[in-house]
Amino acid sequence: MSHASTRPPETGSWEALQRELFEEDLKHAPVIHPAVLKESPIIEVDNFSLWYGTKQVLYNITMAIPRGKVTAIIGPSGCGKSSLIRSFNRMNDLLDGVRYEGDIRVDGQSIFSPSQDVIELRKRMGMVFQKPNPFPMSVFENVVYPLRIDGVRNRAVMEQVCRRTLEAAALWEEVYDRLHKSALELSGGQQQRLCIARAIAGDPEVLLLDEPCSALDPVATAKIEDLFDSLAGRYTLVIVTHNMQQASRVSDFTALLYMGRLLEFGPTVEVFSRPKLRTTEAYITGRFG
Amino acid sequence: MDPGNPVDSQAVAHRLASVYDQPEHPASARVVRGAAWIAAAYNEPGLWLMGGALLIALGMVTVLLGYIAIEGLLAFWPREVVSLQLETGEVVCGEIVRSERYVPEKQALNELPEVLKERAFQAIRQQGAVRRYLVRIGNYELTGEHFRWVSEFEIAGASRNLPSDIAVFERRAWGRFYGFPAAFVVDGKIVAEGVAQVWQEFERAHPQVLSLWGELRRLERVDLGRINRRMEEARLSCREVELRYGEDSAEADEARRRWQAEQAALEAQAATVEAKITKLREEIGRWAIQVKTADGKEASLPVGEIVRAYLPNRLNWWGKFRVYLARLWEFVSDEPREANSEGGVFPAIFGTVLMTLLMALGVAPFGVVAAIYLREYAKAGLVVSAVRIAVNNLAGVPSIVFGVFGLGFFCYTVGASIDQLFYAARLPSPTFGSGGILWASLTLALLTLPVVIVATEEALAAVPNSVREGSLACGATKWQTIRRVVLPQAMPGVLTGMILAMARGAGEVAPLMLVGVVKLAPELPVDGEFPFFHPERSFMHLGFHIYDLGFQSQNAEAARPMVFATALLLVLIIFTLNLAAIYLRARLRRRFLGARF
Repeated sequence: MSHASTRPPETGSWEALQRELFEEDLKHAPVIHPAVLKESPIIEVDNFSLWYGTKQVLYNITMAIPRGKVTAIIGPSGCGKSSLIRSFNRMNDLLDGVRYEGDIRVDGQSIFSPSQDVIELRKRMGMVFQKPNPFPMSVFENVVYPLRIDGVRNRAVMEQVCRRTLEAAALWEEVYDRLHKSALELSGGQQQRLCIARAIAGDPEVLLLDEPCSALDPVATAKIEDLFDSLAGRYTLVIVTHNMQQASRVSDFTALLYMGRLLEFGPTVEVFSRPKLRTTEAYITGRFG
Repeated sequence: MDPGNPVDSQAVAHRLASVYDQPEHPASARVVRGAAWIAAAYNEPGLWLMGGALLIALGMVTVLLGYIAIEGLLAFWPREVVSLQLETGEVVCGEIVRSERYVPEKQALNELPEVLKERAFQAIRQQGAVRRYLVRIGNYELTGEHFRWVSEFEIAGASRNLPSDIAVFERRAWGRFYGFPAAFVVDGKIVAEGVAQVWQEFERAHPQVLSLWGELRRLERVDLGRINRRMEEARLSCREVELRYGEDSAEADEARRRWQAEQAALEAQAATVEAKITKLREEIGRWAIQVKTADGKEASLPVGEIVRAYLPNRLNWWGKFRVYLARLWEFVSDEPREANSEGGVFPAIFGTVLMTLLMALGVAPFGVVAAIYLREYAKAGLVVSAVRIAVNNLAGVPSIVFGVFGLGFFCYTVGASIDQLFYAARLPSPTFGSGGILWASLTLALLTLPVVIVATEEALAAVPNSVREGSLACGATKWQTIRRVVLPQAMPGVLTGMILAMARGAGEVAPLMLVGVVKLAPELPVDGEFPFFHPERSFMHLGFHIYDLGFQSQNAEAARPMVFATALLLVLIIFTLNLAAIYLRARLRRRFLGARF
């Protein structure tokens, strides 16, 4: 992704118009609706920029994820949504040549401070990925994996957690009779719900969902969206999606990222019905992206 | 082409122009031209070439394995014993092993007696060569040879009969004996005469004598062996005291006295055992069978010396099959005799399997740990690339070099240090300081290490990153991720590496010759003596056994069928080990990966 202004505008094309809109919107961005500021934040992103090698993917992002709410991060492919959400639990640390500026705070504590234990941070944030990634073991072992790595040995505790989380992930009914069969025999939708169950088995505060439905069919997607509703009260959910309908259906707040920049962030209803920027309007009405 | 020549460059330009200016071929022309090209376009000649190469390779392997299988399986089939009357009046009696056509040398022909010369010339005139037979004549103590070539022209008339009374005796020493049973002797008195009666008596007495023989062997090996070991232990404990306190100290004097007392007690024990052995020997020596050879000589064979005897020309198919099975069983379950050219190869089977399993145990942790470091921890860069290249090159180092390294490092450095630290009393005779099954296994583990590292690295690389991320996102550490998620998923690939390593290691001979394989090992590396497993002992190996039989045997012709049988056995054992590993891998795959859509 290259910087928009480095490319000479081609007059008369749709891309040129889009770029023109964006350039103008950038003067006002980011537009943060006042309703967001009233919420108590759990994750605060403070002037955060990110580079992969020499390529900058995030530009001075400043936003606060409201506690206990569902926040959707939308934007076209390659806009940096995944990079942002992966920064929250420092999954980007695993990549070579990653560099950042600015800060991200969880409950007021900087996650980049040397005293921050990365393992502890990740235990506080469950993460679900775009492609279901169940481990090559039984359904039961998949769910209790976070307990296993914490050294839990008590079978009764594990069985209890397994049942509770599978029920929370709306999967118990489908797998209770094959808990000890390979998780890889489940369907794609079941696997993704299993991954959600695994993410909440460790009892996190935040659930980071990185396009959790993009590899699934509509029926499986609907089931998982229902699941978000039931999880919403208990956890802070951050959902990255490029599906606008999904964002409007499941989220309380929506943030639009475009070319590595935060354009607009506000209550979902307002962002979708009365967007303040023309790029936002163009994007949510499906005119580009 | 000279660029300075304007005519040439003009010509080129013209030709290029003509190529580019050509109008496009009409569709029909293209189809016709395409038809001529299609074979090449679909790589049909190449397909034939590749398929043919595969076929040739497979054919050669099949022929080799088939030849080994047939020769190996037929090695134990009892042949008929023929009696050949020669023109010279001699009688040659034995098993015909094989025949060939040859042209005798001029001098040999000229030195022949007149009668034979005429016949030989006639055969050469008619057929261009002479046929000759290799006959296993046995009776080594009488004839001085085990085998003899008999030319067709030497045989009088067409006299080749199968005497029904002839018997084959397989003995513990001196090879086979062919002869007619004449009398059965007990305590120096003849109790039976005539083939039928003698054979009846022999078959009644033989099992009894065999069990007595077994008893004798047990006394010699186990009882005497135990007493000898105790004597050695007593000597060693005395020596230890001498080493600790000095040879002139009071403690050493005391120890020497104790040793001498113990030695005297043990010698008394040994004397009783030896008395028993002498008695048993006398008991066994009571039975003998008197045999007349085909050329009229007489011999007395002690029944205790006979391993197996049968009347080959009276056996029907089932009888032969029973002899065959008995020999086959002896081959896989018994110890070798007669300089390995007869008897079984059980110690070699045991040594091969044990060494291969020890090697697998040795190479697996090292290879997997090294691969995990290279793939999961090491930062990609020059050093890692260099290490990887070095590992791959290690796979190409000739195995004998590993043997030399094993001898120098394991035996002479590590082993010698162990001896100095823990077995000082036994010096100067080495314990771990010379070749043994442990050092041989470790040497082969080094040899097969690159195979395992490369296979494991590939298996680790094949584990998708999404699974690693999933585990890390759960708050697992890197090590937890590798141990609980990545390694289980890579396990089938690791086992593939182990299969390759075992296939390579089990068939390796050259390095073993330096680090512990022997022609004949007196004891197995595992036995009932504490600590039950003796890693310092030298051992026998099927691969070396084949070499020894084929190239070092004094009785090469007798060893020939054993070479094939042993080769077949080695192939079967490697095949079985691989099959076991493949089965294990399939089970792991089912367990970890389940059904993949």
